[in-house]
Amino acid sequence: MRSFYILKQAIHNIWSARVPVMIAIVTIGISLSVLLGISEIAYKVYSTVENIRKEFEIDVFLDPEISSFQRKIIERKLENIHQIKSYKFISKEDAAKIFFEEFGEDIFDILTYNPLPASYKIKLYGKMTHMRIVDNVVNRINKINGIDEIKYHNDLLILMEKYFLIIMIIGGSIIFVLLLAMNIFIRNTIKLSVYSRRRQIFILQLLGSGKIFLKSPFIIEGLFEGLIGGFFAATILYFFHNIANETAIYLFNYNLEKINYIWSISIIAGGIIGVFASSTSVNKFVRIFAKNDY
Amino acid sequence: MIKFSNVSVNYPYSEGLTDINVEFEDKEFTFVLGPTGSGKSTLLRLIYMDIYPSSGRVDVQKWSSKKITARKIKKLRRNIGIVFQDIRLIENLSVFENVALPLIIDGYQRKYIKRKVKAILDEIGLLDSIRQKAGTLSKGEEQRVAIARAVVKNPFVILADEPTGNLDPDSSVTVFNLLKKINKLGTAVIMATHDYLLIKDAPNRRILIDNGKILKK
Repeated sequence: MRSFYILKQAIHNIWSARVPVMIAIVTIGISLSVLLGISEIAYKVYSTVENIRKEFEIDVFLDPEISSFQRKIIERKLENIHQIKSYKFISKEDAAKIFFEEFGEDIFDILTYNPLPASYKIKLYGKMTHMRIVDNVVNRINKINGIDEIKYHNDLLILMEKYFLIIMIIGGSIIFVLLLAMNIFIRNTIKLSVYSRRRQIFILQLLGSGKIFLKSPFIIEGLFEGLIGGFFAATILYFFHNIANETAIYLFNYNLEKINYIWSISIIAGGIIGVFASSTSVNKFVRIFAKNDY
Repeated sequence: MIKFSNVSVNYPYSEGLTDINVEFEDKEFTFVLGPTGSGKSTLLRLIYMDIYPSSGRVDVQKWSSKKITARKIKKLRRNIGIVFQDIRLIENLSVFENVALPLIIDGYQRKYIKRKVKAILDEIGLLDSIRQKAGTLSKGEEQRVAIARAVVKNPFVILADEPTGNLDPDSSVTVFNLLKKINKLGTAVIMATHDYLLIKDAPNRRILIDNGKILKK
């Protein structure tokens, strides 16, 4: 009977404040779709950056006259650099094979000898692929005897570190503002509901009602706004993702990846935001409005 | 039993109560008489702990104003029936739901609630209006519903704050008779009123209060 009463009151609250409720739902829908869209883009950027970091390599070319004994010393010294995850020796012959695979021509046919030097392909641990650390590692390798030249894409690293940070800061700020906006709209509708029900709340308090009984209808109202707003957001995202995908196929013949679990994530996120915003605001507004002097 | 011991209430801009010492016995019907603003409502609000004394203490059964916590106030109020001059029903709820509210709050079973509410509405002659919205009733009917809500949980006391203040003479008599009937069944009633005509023939105890002081017990 309690649950039935609470549910009935929640439905009554929603129905009697249908315009603010609609505004809150539309705001949540739009904000959440933008928020999830940005989160998806940020996640994609993050995964790409992580992949680049994983694949990042330093090419260390050796002196042409190096002996196998000297190579063993170099390898031991490389093993002592703890930022290095792995290294792979590429002999002159391997280099010639790679040349053939990449350019389709045999180096001996062009020059009659093999000028390609032996080298090491060095991979660092993912967390170590930051500009400063890479420079440090390169400096240490450079000091080892028998090293002729070191090559790595420091331009890529600089670009990645600079823009990744900017994207994350801008994305984070937009997400923060949107969360704030959603919170404000839900709080406002709950504030209106509590205000219009202040007499009822006061009567219930006089009858000895507990906090849960008093506040549950408002929290259900927030949950409802959040869930419907989340559904609306998923619809918007689905619609725009389809448009973007068709455009990508038409222009670049490229199929965009599907956004996984878009419906469930959006609806659950909406519900969580709805419950959070309504439960925090209902505490405040019941205290303010539900007094004897309504 | 309800006991006031040296109770004073100070309001910033009006008279409260000054050094009140009074006791209300179980099953007793007591009138608290006095002009508007004399402190009658303040006296009742102290009993259901809507306000606390500035000094002194109020003991209501096992609860004391000195020690009571917010959680215990809820328990106290679940054992008291309150009837107001401005009635305070929830207009968008039906007569049944309004009367059932104290039982719903306490988590009683649906079957029990239905049986109990129907019995009380039958007793006060409003069973036919059970599905009507409270906001559509006459003032007299509303006040009877409010009394039904106050007694539905068999409280030990009914606090009636000017229950006939907004009613026509006929409805006033009906409401007063209803309170007398409830008292005969063993519930104490404390009725604040300035309707001397209504109660002139009633043999019950009277407490006269003016300017926040008890003039006669």
